[in-house]
Amino acid sequence: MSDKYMTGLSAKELLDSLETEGFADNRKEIMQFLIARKGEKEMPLYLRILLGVGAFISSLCLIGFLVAAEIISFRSEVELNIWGIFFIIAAVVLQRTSGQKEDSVKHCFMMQSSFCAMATGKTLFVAGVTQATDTAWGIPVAALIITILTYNVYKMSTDRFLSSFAVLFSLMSNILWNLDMGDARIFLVNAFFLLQVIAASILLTYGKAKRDYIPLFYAFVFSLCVTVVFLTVQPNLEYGGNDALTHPVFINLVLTISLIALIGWAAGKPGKLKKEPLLIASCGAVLLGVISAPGVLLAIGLLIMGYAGHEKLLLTMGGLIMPVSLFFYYYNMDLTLDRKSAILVSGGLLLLAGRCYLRYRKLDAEV
Amino acid sequence: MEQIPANRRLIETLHAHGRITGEAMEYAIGLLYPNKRWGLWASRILLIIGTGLVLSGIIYFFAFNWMKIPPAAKFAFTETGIVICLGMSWHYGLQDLAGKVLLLSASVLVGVFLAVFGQIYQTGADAYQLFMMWAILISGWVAISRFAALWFVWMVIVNIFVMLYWEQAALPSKDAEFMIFSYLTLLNGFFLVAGEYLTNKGSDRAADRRLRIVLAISVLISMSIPMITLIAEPGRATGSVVFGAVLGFAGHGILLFSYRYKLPDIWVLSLTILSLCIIAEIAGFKMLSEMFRRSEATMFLLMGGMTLGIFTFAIIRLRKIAGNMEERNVR
Repeated sequence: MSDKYMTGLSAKELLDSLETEGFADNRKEIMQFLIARKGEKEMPLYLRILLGVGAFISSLCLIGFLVAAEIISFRSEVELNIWGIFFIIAAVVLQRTSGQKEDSVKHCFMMQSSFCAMATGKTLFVAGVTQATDTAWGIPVAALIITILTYNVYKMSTDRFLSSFAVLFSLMSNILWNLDMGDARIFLVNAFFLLQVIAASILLTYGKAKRDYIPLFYAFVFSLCVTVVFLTVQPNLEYGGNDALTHPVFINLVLTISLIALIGWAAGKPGKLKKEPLLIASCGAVLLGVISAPGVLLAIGLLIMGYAGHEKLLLTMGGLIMPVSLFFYYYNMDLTLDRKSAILVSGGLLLLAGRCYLRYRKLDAEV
Repeated sequence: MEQIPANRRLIETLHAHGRITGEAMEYAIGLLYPNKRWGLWASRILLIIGTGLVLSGIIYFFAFNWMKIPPAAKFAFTETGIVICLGMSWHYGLQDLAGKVLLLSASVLVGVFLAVFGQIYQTGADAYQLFMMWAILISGWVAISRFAALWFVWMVIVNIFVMLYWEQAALPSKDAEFMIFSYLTLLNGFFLVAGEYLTNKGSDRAADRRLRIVLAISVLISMSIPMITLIAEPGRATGSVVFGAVLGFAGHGILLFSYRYKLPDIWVLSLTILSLCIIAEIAGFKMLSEMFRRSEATMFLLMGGMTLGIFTFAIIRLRKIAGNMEERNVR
């Protein structure tokens, strides 16, 4: 996103401005606080991708070795769990002993080995618990246990994100496919969606949440994207013929309320929603919720979150979820293409009307 | 403190821990997100998403009612759409995003028009001809638009044309069938070079960078396929596979050199290195699986070690390069 749309201030520049306006008499204290919270420097995304791909391939090789050498058998839950825990402990030890010099060969190799061991350990542990419980519910339960146990011990954002997402994804998969609950399934899907939105909102807005929980926030957001895309393709979960409570209405309702809350959050405080442009934006969100598809609502929400939070990853996700959900929307079997067409065109016209309003009020002048 | 970016999370953390007052938080948020920037950003997002939704809706409508719409109405609708979009684009001008988006809409409608034309008159033309005509007809608009999204759409159309031409008209022999990857490499490589040239001439850099990354990914994919085929099945490699692999090898080198020294870009460099790592992995797997046919355990163990080595080396190199780029203040 170019500077035309986003400011690029540093903490120092912000503090300077606050001090000039008389808001930062305790400048020294603020500086110490920020430096203390800065913590370890996060690895850039491109390096995390390389690290992740390398660890994924090497963990597959390691598991292949353990099976080929007959050290473990996927039929023995005890072996799987013991080796799983062993590799998880080894991963933590390797990370703690990798040293501080980030660009040294030793540090890089040990971090790579550590992530490989962690991926192997978690896979074996989850496989072991699933084998022991003899049910697909063993996967989310084991993934949840191991994620909770390692989250604060193993400080690697890629692992935190992937583990948290694995828990959410396996939960969703089990609710959708491995639950013989008939009509109650739709309630669980709705409740799971709502819980994810609430959790993501808390992590986004609660100022005291530690930086450590940013990967968890991303896991919730990513899981919401996957859920919405899935429900776009497969909306009919057969809720006992009761149309009023089928999930597209519920999901749209949740997303609309979230969108209005997001607009209030982005403006600084909910009270500002009374201002004319924000009031109109909120009314637009309600109308969009009535006529549009969940993918469109989620995409707009992600874009607002990304812009308001200076989070380029969220902006990218918002930009991608829109064409992806539109593509899958085409294959949605519950609606005719005629109805889909009407939904899309009316949603589009509503957004264009919003733009005309901004133009009319001269709120979109170049900076 | 200069290294810490000021964002909303930082402001909210300061407020939540009582380091700044509510009034200060409001002031800081206003400083980071001035109303005018919000207005400009929202206006553009509404325009882009709104237009995207309307265009998708129109395409869905045509797909569903194809048989029911009379031919004259099909023509009237698409042609009127093109004329309105062009007229409004002219009204707004190509300096305005609205003008650019309307020109993009007109370009998409030209494709719809060609499909309608082919269906109604039963021209018997192959699909590649539709894409060829589409690309030719809108190329003038693309050239004057200075709009990365329209360039992207045009490049996708040209790529589809080349692939369909290869399948429907060129009808290559078995020996030549992999030449398609070389042609796609050269085509997208040309687009990449042309894009860099235009960027130097002063078009919107942020948009061009996204286009650069997309083009680099497509070039890397078309370069890697012959290389991987040659490594995985050398006995069945035809002349076109060997040519594609040699081109791919040279292409990787050119990308590494160009985006390391000439036009430093850490993302393109990372993608190139990732592609090389995967190719090296496949070569290693092939070599080890042949050396240790009777001992899978040894093969997997060595393969795991090799993977750690390859990726560790790649990360160290990239870290050093990124450090050098940061010193020279390159994104």
